[in-house]
Amino acid sequence: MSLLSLKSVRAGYGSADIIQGVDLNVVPAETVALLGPNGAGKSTLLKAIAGVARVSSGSVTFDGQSLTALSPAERAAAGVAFLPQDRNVFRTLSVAENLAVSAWGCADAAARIEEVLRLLPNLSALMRKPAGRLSGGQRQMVALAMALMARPRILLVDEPTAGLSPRLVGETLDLLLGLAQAGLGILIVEQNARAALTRVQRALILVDGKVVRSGAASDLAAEPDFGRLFFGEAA
Amino acid sequence: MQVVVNALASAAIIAPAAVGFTLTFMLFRYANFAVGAFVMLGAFAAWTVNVTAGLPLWAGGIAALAIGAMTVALSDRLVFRPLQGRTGATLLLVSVALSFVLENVIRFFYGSQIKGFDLPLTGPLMIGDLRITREALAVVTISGIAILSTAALLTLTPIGRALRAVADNTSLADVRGLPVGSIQTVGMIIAGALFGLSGTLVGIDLAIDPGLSWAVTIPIIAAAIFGGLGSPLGAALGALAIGFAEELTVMFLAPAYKGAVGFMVIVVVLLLRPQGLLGVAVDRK
Repeated sequence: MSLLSLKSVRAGYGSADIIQGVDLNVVPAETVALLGPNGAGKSTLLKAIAGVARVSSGSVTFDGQSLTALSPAERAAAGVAFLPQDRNVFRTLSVAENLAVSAWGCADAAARIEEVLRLLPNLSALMRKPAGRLSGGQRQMVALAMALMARPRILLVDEPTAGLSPRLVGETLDLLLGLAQAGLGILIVEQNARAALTRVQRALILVDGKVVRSGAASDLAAEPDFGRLFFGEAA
Repeated sequence: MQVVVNALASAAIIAPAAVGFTLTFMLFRYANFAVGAFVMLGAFAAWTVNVTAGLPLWAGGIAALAIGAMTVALSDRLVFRPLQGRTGATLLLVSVALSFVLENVIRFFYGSQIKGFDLPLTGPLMIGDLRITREALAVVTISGIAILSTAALLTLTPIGRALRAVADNTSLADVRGLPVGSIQTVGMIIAGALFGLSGTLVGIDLAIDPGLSWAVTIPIIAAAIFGGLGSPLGAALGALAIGFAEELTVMFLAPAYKGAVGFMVIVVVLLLRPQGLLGVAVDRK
């Protein structure tokens, strides 16, 4: 059964629809990449699922429950965790405070922090540091840890490797893959299409707010004119 | 040394309100010029309980905290929250209008006569040549406790962390599952209680009348700007700076110029260090 299901979703900001009728499904433990050129609407689609962007028509359901009328906070409580690309940590709070505040309303916050630190042990040494003083890679790890504090069932990740070194790109994507193996559904927007396609199970290619191609990641990566068709790369 | 004592007493009066003002700014990013009116309301609430009801001033202080908290929370719900998304300048003008409304409501019910708390007459404490009134000592102690308690609340408690998180990034707080609206309301209640406390403290030092509203507005805002808008510690330090500047003005110029100190501080800070003492410079988008 689908964990996340989108049917004919149109979404955007103000009165403009950037997403023009998208269908999408993610099942538990599945990794799905949203690929496409800049301005295709990938981030907007994630924001629409998270409740940050407006959905003008169509349905967004999570585990059979409609998300349409829920606020971002209610969607988070239901198990949908969104990791924005930018400004994804509370910069004036320490790492420990970022984690604690992300477990708002949870009686077992301390246990959750320990749980997250077992997954991301490098964060232990950074707990007292203000999040605004971390490097880009460290900040992404804190953002991921914050999202995991709510024990989500699906992660919506917006360009987690933007600005990271090639080594960190691989490590970050592998870490997300590990989370999926533990049962989490993952929908990831990634500019580094080739790195993503070697790791995720399925991919959708979005152009001008529409899905123009979808399928197994390995099939899409094997297409000889993949780069030229969808990303404008030189042949 | 007497200047230091007097400056501390002046600073102690406006410091809680300056922290409340900066808390409001942290959460909503607008300058609420009704701050003086909230302080004046607190002073009248304390006076009503102390003089009209004949109860001790500490009971009046508690009433001032409650009235301040309630009025600020209500004005947030009824006036400012519906205008969320408007520019800071619009909200500032609305807060000026609210200030006039509150001032005239008080004028309608209490008149314009000067009032004062019913306090026992006591002699000052003398330490060498240093003259410290018992009222000033009480004002500094209570204000210090209030500032330290607010700092502890903001740094050591879950609601304090949540308030700072919402102030830091409202949109992220929302997607991380924090009940942003409720947390902002708690922030407004704390700010309102601080305004009410300043109202009680100001009533100990100055005469209480509806005109008090604008007399304290500029020093409070100057203190918050000096300290760096969005920094509660900065606001407390800013209050100290304003207290010293006012006392030095009285000493070297004339008491009549005391009221201009706040304006001068605002102009100088905005020209030389717009982010204030502890504020962080941000790019305007």
